[in-house]
Amino acid sequence: MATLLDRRLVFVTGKGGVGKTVVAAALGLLAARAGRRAVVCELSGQQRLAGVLPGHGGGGPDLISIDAETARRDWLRRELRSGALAGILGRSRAFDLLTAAAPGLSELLTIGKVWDLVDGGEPGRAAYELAIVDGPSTGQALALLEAPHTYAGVARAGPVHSRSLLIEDFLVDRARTAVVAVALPEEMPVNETIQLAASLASLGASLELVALNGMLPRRYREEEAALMRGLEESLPGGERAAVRVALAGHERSRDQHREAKRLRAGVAARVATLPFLFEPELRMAELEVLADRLAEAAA
Amino acid sequence: MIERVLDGRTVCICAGSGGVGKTTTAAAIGLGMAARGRRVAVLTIDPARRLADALGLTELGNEARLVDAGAEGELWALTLDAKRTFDELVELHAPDAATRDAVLGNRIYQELSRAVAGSQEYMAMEKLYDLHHEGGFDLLVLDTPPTRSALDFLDAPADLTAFIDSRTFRVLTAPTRFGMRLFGRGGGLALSALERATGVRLLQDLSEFFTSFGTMSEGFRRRADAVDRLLAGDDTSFVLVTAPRRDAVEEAIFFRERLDEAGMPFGGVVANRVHAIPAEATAAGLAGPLGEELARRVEADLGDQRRLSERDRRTLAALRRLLSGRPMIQIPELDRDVHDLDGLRALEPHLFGGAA
Ligand SMILES: Nc1ncnc2c1ncn2[C@@H]1O[C@H](COP(=O)(O)OP(=O)(O)OP(=O)(O)O)[C@@H](O)[C@H]1O
Ligand SMILES: Nc1ncnc2c1ncn2[C@@H]1O[C@H](COP(=O)(O)OP(=O)(O)OP(=O)(O)O)[C@@H](O)[C@H]1O
Ligand SMILES: [Mg+2]
Ligand SMILES: [Mg+2]
Repeated sequence: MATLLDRRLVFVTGKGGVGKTVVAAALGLLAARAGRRAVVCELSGQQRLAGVLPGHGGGGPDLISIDAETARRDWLRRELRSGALAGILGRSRAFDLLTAAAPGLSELLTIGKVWDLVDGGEPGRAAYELAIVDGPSTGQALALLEAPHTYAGVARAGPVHSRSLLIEDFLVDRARTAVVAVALPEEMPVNETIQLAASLASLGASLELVALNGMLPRRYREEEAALMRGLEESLPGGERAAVRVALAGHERSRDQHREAKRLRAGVAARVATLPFLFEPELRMAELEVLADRLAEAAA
Repeated sequence: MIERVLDGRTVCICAGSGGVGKTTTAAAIGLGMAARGRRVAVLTIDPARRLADALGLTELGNEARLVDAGAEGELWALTLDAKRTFDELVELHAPDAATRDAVLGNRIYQELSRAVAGSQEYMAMEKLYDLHHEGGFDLLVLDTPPTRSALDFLDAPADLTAFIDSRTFRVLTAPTRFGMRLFGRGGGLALSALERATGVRLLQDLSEFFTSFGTMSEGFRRRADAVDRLLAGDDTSFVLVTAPRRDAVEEAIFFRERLDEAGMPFGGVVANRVHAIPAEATAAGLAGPLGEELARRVEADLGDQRRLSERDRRTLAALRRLLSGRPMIQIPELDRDVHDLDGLRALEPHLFGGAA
């Protein structure tokens, strides 16, 4: 089994707000540390990483933001092999309107753009060895991963058909593509991750790794919690409030461990836990911490 | 509180960035309004069926289902099956049975209407309009998916109309010679470029598909306009849900701007999962009863929680600036995550007022 960083594509997804962008960035750092020519692709249009990662010059991965617009333009340039023709078609907006109207077509172009970066049918000449995709949330991610299969069927011949087939092969090939799910140790995100694993399997793809993010520190043993519970009522107001905060955190952490267990039982993929970091904002130093924690799972 | 946000409107759309609590909020609003005697339907576009999770339901379909919530009113829930909604629309707009069967049987239609991606938002708007139009509910609450493009549904009706009105559509649905002329000067070139970019065969297939669709385009267009009017009208209120974190608040601000641009009514903000520790909390006198080492850990715990509280306080101050008079409701980070009816009930006093 190839390690995560030996693939050409690592596709990160998960429920909204669970830490997909942060995990993609941490994986990007790992890849750069390992000497890969790596690029982190933001698909969300938010371009949040540019201000956080050091970029290629600073020993980080390259960054690229792919939106439907650029994906469309690149597809045209590639298929028409002529800037002038692409320009004419671009100006007529015919292709724009078609991609806006035909469901899944713009997803196909987007995943096609990622594929271009690392393979494009000629992996030896591709710009990067590894693309780490900061993907959209679960539902949309599945639509992206499914688009090549759909269009391989919709288009019975021609460039859309042939590229779709190549991309589909690429996506279901575990030697080249890995899907990483990010989850939080809470009931709904865990359920969604288990469902994701099943949906991926039905596409012929598989879930490699779950990054279980936001694990709270486990500060107290059960008997310590019991001690605090017993004393709680007898304490003066300020101390009572403090003990309540501590006990609430303890309960939360216990719930988290229960969910982590349920996740491990529910998916075949490896599970790597990441700590909740109390910094008001995650910057390079925090990403390094998370990268260290992911290093083992990625190896 | 939330009733001020809703302002008597009958359609409530919960939008916001990923994981901030849109589904939770939508369900809690629904449950709370049902408890106040209203007949409410909560809709989600979510392929991962989060709403079902949140409501403790096992099966949801395109038909609304009554949630056994023991409410005075009624709480109904549905998740959208985009393909079914699409089919229903075709049935609605097809001028005759032959057209209907031609479209439903079309190979491309079958492939594409299953590839739910982009059509989802549009279908959600359709269903929302449908339910609104039928008028069986006092309140419709829509839960939206977690993307920046969550607001794409605002454009979905207009996008469709633009396509129907476009030359591309006419070219694709007209005999080729005529179609080429529609592209205007240099049109032949553009068409052949389009053929090269997509493949002649695919273009022909799509053309066939859109031709069978063509007779229905008027119906679709009228419908899209009606949906647009509903969203921008007096019946609708957008609730922006956000977490008290900088990135989420920045997204909320972005959403607010988009709403204004699109002329859609902004109802207010729900700031969810706000950390706040009691100001009086102190570990100063804990060394005695707990022992020094344990007391130190409680102290460290308090320090972490204070940092989160301080962060949230600051972020929310920034958020207040975008309210322009609309209300902001704060929901605290609860001790447990919210995944069933009881969890939703714990949100209620914060959403509806009367919280301690
Ligand atoms: N381990 C962690 N500890 C503390 N905060 C974290 C951690 N991981 C992520 N966060 C914070 O949680 C928020 C969401 O993270 P991130 O943006 O990576 O999620 P996402 O899944 O990409 O969200 P979206 O669905 O909106 O794209 C950010 O504010 C981030 O800084
Ligand atoms: N006030 C709260 N206190 C504690 N946990 C909460 C609270 N509100 C929501 N949660 C938890 O936060 C997580 C995200 O909530 P929810 O699924 O409603 O967000 P969402 O915005 O719909 O997410 P997505 O963008 O993925 O659709 C869930 O695990 C939920 O249980
Ligand atoms: Mg993200
Ligand atoms: Mg949701």
